[in-house]
Amino acid sequence: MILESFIVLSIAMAFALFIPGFERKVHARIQRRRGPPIWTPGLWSVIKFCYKKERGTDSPQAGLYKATLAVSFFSTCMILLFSTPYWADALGFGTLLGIAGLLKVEEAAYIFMGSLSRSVMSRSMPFPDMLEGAKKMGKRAFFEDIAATRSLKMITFGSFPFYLALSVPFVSAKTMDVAKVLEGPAQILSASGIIAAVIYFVGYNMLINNRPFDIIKPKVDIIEGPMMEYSAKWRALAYETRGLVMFALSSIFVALFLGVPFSIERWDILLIHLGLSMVLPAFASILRAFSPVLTFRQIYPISMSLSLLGIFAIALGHMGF
Amino acid sequence: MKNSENITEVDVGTIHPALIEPFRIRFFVEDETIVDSEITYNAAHRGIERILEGLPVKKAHMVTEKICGLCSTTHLWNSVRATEKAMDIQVPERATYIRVLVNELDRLHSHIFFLAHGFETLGHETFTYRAFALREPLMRMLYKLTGNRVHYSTAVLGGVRPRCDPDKATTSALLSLLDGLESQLGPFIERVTQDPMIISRISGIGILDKKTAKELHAVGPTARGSGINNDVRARMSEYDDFDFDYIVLKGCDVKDRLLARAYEIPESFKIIRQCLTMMPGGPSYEPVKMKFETQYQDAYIEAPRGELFHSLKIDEKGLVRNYRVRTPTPPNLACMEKACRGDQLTDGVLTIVSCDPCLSCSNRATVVDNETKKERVIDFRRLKG
Repeated sequence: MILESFIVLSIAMAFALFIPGFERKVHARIQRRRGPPIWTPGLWSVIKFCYKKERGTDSPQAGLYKATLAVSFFSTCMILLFSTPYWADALGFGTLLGIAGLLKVEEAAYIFMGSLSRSVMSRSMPFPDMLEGAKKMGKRAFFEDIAATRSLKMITFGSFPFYLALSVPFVSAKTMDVAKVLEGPAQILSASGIIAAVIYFVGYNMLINNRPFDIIKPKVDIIEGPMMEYSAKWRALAYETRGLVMFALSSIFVALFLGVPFSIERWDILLIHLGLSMVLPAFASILRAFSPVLTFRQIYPISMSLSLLGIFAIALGHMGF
Repeated sequence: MKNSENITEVDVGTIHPALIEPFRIRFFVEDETIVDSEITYNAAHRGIERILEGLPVKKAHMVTEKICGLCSTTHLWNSVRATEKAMDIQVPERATYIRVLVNELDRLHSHIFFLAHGFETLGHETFTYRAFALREPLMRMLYKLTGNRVHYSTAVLGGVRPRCDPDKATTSALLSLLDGLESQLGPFIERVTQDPMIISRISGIGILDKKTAKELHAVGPTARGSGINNDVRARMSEYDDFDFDYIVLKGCDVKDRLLARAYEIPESFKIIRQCLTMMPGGPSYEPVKMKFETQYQDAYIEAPRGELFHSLKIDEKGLVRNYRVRTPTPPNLACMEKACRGDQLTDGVLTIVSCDPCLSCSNRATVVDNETKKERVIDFRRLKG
C-alpha cells in the first residue's frame, strides 16, 4: 500500500504541475492569445519559487499560518488516496464521510489562512486618518479578514451543492464505500448521475476558487486574500496544493461518475483516467474565460437552486434512476 | 453617520490592482455592505495650474494637452477655444470639422478603454482583452489622421496643424477603417449587453437617483445614466452641423452608466462619418493676430467623462494668468461616494469605476493660510484676477 500510495502521489503531483499550464492555455486560446508555455505556470513557477528568498511573513502567528497550508496539502493528498482502490479499506476512510470530511478540512484551511494573514498590501495606510473632515468610524480591517469571512460563507452554503452531488453515486449504489461504488456501473449513465455531474462541476469551481466563484480572492477588492502572504517555497507549495486539489477533484469525478478508477496496475486504464481528468479543468477554463466574478448577491441564489437540484438528484438516485 | 461597533473600515488603495490611478477609497462596511465611503486623492499632485501661470499662450497649450492621456485632445481643444474666445479669433469651418473629428475619435477611444476597465473590474478578462483588441484599429485611425496615437496635438490657434488635415486618400482610408471598426464594435456591444452574467452583476447596484445626481452636480455619462441630459455638445456651436442623439438612461445604476457610454459609441460613429463625408473645403488654418490683455475667459466642452472647464486670462505681455481647469471628476466624486452605499464591497469598487474617476488630472492644491492655519476659498472676483 505504501509503494502504491507513493506512485499515485507522484503521478498526481506531476499532473498537478501540468494542469495550471493546460488551464491557462485553454483560457488564452479563447481570448485569442497564445498563452504561456504549457509548463511555465505549473512546473517552472514552482521551481522558481523554491529558489526564491523567503521574505518575512506578515502574520501574528507566521508558523501557524504556514502550517495551515501544509495541513491543506496533506489533506488533499489523503483525499486523493482515499478515492483510489488502495486505501478503500483503510480504517473506513475510503468512504463518502472520509472524502467529504477532508474536503471540509481543505476548505476550512482558507478561514485560518485569512485570519492569520496581515498583509502590508491590504492596509496601506498604517496610521489613522487625522485630517480634519476625514470620516472616523469602526476599526480597520485587513483584506484577509474579509477573505476569512467569505471563506466561512462559502463553506457554510457555497459548496453545499457539491457535497450533495458527491453523495449521489453513493446513494445510487446504496453504500458508503468508495470501493463498492467503483464496482458498479458508471453513474453518468443514469439521470441522477447526469444532474449530479453538472452540480459537481459547478461545486468543483467553487472549491478550487475558480471564476465566477473566486469571491475569496478577487483582484478587484481583496486581491489574493488568504494566500497573499505566502512567499518563496510556501508559495510553491500553495501552487502545488491548488493543482493537486484540482487533480484530486477531477480524479474523484472520473472514478465516481465515469467509472474509471485511478489504478496504476493497468497503464491503459491509468492513461484513460488521466486523460479524462483534464475534462473538468478544461471546462473550468472555458467557464472562467466567459465569466465575471460573482458576488454573494448571485452566489446565494445559485447555491440554493443547485442544492434543490442536488436533493432532487439524490431522490432520483435513491429510486434507481 | 453614527459610529457603530459593527462597522469596519476597509481601505482600497492608494496602490491596488483595481485602481489605475493612485487614490484611496475608504469603505465603511457592515458585514460586507457598504454603509459609507470616502475617497481621498492628491497622491499625484502635478501642479498643472501653477506650471501654466506666466507661460506664453502657445506653450501653455502644449502643457494643457498633457493634463490627461485619454482626453488629451479635449483639454487642448478647450484650452485653444478659451484662448480663441478671449482673443476673438475666428476658425475656418474645415478646421472645426477636423477638431470635432479628432475629438470624437478620442471619445471612442476613451469609451472603449472605459469599457475594458469596467470588464477588468468585473473580473471578466476575455471581454477586457477583446475591448483592448477593438481599440487598436481606432488607434491606427488616430495615427493615420494625426500622426500620433495618444497626444494628437491637433488644435492650434486659428485652426489645426496641417499634418492633421486629411487629403482625399486619407479620408477614404479612414472611412474604410471606420467601416471595419463599426462592424466589429456593434456585435461586441450587443454581445456584452446581452450577457446574463454581466447584466446580473451590474444591475441594481451603485444607485444614484436623479435628485441626488442633480444635487451633487453630476456630469457626463454619470449624470446621463441617472436621467439628466447635460451633454455640453448641445451648447457647442461646433456641433451644430451634426445629426446625432444624446444618450440619456433612467436606470440610475452601474448598468446604465456603463450602457450610456456603450450607446454613445454608435453616436460618435455617426458624427465621425458626417465629418468625413461632409467636410468643407478651404483652409484648415489661418494665421491669427494675437491680442493681449484680454478679459477673463472660460470655455466648456464635453470630454468623454463629462463637462470640462478651462478658464484663463492673458496679460499685457501675452502670458497666461490664473489658469483654471476643472475636469469632470471633482463634481462626480461626491456621486461616487454616495452611489456605492448599500453595495457589496466587491460592487463598491465597480460603482466607483462606473463613474470613471480620473484623479491625476483632477488633483489641485488647497490654499492654506499659514498665519491663521485656515483654508481659504478663492472667490470669483479673485479668480478673474
